[in-house]
Amino acid sequence: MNNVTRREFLKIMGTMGTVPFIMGTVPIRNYPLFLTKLDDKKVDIAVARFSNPETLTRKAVELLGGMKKFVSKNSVVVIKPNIGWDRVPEQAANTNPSVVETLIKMCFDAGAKKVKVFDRTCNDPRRSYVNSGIEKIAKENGAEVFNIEDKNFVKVNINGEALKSWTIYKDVLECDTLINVPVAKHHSSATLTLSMKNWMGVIGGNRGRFHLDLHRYIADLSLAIKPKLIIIDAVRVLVRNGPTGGNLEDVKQLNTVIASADPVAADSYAAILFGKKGEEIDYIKYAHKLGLGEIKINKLNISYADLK
Amino acid sequence: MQILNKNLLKKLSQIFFLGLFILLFINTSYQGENIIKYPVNIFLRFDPLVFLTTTISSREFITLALPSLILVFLSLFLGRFFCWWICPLGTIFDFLSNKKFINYKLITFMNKIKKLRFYILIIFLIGSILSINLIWLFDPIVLLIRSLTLSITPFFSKYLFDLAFLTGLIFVSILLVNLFSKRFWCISFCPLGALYSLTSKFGIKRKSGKIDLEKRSLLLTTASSLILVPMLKFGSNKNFDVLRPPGTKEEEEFLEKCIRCGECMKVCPTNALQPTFLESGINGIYSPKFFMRHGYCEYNCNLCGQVCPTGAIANLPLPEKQKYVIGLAIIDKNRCYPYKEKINCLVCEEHCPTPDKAIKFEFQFSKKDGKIIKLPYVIENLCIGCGVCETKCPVPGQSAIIVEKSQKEEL
Repeated sequence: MNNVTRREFLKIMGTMGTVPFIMGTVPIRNYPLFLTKLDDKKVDIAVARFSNPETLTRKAVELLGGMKKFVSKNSVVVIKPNIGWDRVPEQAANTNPSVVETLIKMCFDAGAKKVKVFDRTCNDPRRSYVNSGIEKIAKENGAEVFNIEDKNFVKVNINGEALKSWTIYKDVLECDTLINVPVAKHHSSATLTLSMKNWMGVIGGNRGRFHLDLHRYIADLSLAIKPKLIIIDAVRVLVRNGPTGGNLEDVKQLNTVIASADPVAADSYAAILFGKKGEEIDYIKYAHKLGLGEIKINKLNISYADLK
Repeated sequence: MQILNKNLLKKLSQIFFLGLFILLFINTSYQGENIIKYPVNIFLRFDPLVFLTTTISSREFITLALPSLILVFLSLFLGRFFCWWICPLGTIFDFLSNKKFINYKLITFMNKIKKLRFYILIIFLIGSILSINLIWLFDPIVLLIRSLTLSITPFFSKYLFDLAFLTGLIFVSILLVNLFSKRFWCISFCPLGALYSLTSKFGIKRKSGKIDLEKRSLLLTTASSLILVPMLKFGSNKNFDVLRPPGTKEEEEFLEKCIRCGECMKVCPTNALQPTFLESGINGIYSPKFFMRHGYCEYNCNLCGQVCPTGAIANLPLPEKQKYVIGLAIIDKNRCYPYKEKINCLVCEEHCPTPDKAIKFEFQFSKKDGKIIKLPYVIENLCIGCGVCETKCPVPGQSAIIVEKSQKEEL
C-alpha cells in the first residue's frame, strides 16, 4: 500500500482498534487474562475461580487493585468473617478459614498495624470459634481474636427507610479499614445470605426482632456500615438448609472468590451462583434504591480469572 | 519427730488433693475440645457411697464407680485415711478453722450427736433399697461440687443458676458452723465418714472408741425410715414433663441413678441445664432439667454424658446423641408472628440444627398487604427437642415455640 490518505489511515486504525476495545469490555471467559485488562476502567467486581482458597483470594484482591489500595500503613483493620455456627469448615456454614488466613496475611503485608477478627455468633461462641477453624488460624497469623462484650455496642442513628437506629460494635465503627468476608449460602427468610446480611454479626440487641422486617433492615444497616473491601467466600456454598446446614450433601464446591468494594454489586453477582437475580432478592433491591450500589450486572466492569 | 513428719505429710496430701480437685473442677467445662479428658467426676467415681447407694437404688452395677472399691480396700489397712488425707471438703474445713472462734457449747453438742452420721447412713441405705437415692443430701463430694457449681461459678462466669441462693446459704452455713466447732459436719452428719468408720472397724487398724449403736435407736431409725422415705414418692403429679438431658432413661430410672452432683449443669456450654426444685416432685430436687428459654442443647455437644459419674446421663457417642429425642417443639399459633400478625420471621427455622431441618415453612398470601408470608411448621419425626428455637424466638415473654416432653404412647 502506498500513498494512504489520512482519512483511510484513520479508518484502518479505527477498525483495528475497535476489536480489542470490544473484547476488553465484554466479559468473555475464554479470553486469556491480559486481554480483559486492555481498558483501564475501574474494576467493580473481581471473580477468581478454580484454584485453592488462598490463590483465589489473592487473585481476586489483585484484580481489584491490590490490598494496598484498601489497607494503608499502620492502620487498624477489622476482618469480619461469618463465625456464627458450631460447624466445621467442610459444612460451609462459616467462612472458609483459609480465606480468612490469606486476608490477614495480605493486610499485614500491606502494612497494617493491627488486624481484628470477631463475630457475634448464633451458637455458643466458644464452640463456634473453635470448630469453624477460624480462631486458631487467625491467632496463628497474628490477628487479635476476641469474643463480643455487650458493653462495647454503641447506639447509631441509621435513619433508614424502616430502621431508625440500632447498636453496632464499637471496633467496626472505629477501625481504619473494614473488610467483610461472608460465606455465600442459602437462607430461608433472606433467600440468600451474602455480604450485606453478614453485618448482623456486629449488631447488638435482640437480633430476633431484627428479623421482623428483615429485608428492609438489612438494606438500612448498610447505610451505617461501609466496608472498604468485600470478599465473598464461595469456595464451598450451602445450596439448601442454610444457614445452619449440617448435611454435607447440601454443600456445593464452587471454588470461587468474589471481591468488590460495592456491596450491592457483590451480592447481586453472587446471587447468580445460586441461580437468582439480584433484583429478585428484596434486600438487594432495597439497598440499590437507597443508592448503596449498582444492581444491574451488565453495568458492572467485571474482571475474571479462571485459574485452571 | 515421727508425729511431726506425719502431720506434714498429711498437710501436703490435703493440699495436693484439694488443688487437684479445684483444677479438675475448673477443667469440667468446654475447653476447646469436644472431649473432657479429666473431669472432676473422678472424685465421685472413687466415692464408695456413690457406688453403694446408686447400685442398690438402680439395681444396676454402677461400673463407673468401681474405682471406689480401691479406697474401701485401703481403708481396711489405713482406717479413715480418706477423711484426713484426701477429702477436699475436709481440707477446706481444716483450713477455715481458727482457735478464736471455737464454741465449746457447740463442741459438746457435737459430741452428743456424733452417732447421727451412722443413722444417716442407715437411712440412705434404706432409701436405696426402696429405690430412692438420697446420697445428694449429705455426701461431702456431691455437696461440694453442687454448691460450687450453683452458687460460686456465677461469680466467675456468665452462668446463672436457679436455687443459687438456697444452695449457697446451706454451704456457707456449714462452713460457718465448722468455724465454731471444727469438723462439726464430718462428725455429726457425714455418711461417707460413717461408711469408712465401719469398713475400718472390720480391718486391721482399729481406732479406739467402738461404734456402739443402741439397738432401740437402730430399730426406731429403720422403722421411721421405712414409713417416711416412701412418702417422697407419693406425689400425684406423675406427668413428669421436665425435659431431661440427652442420654437419660425413663424419669423413675433416671432419678434412681442421678446423685444431683451438678457436673452436667456446670459443663453445659449454653447454661441450659438447671436444677429442678419441685417440678418433678420432692424426690427430684436438684436433678438437672432444661430451661429452654435460657439455653438450649448444642447439636454437636455431648459433654453432659461424658461427665456424669453414675451414667444417669449415658455417655452417648455424638451421632447417637443427635438422634436422642429430648422433647418436641410445638408452635403456639396465637403468639407466633407469621400466624398472628402476618409478619415474616422464621428465626426458629433459621436456627434449627438438624441437617434435614425439623422446622419447614409453607407460603401463604396475605390479603392485608399483598405480601407472601412464610408460615413455619414442625416436622414431628425430625424434631429432637434441642430447644434452640425456643431460645431464639423473638416474641417477648413466653416463646411462641415451646419444647414439650413428648407424650408419645409406646405401642
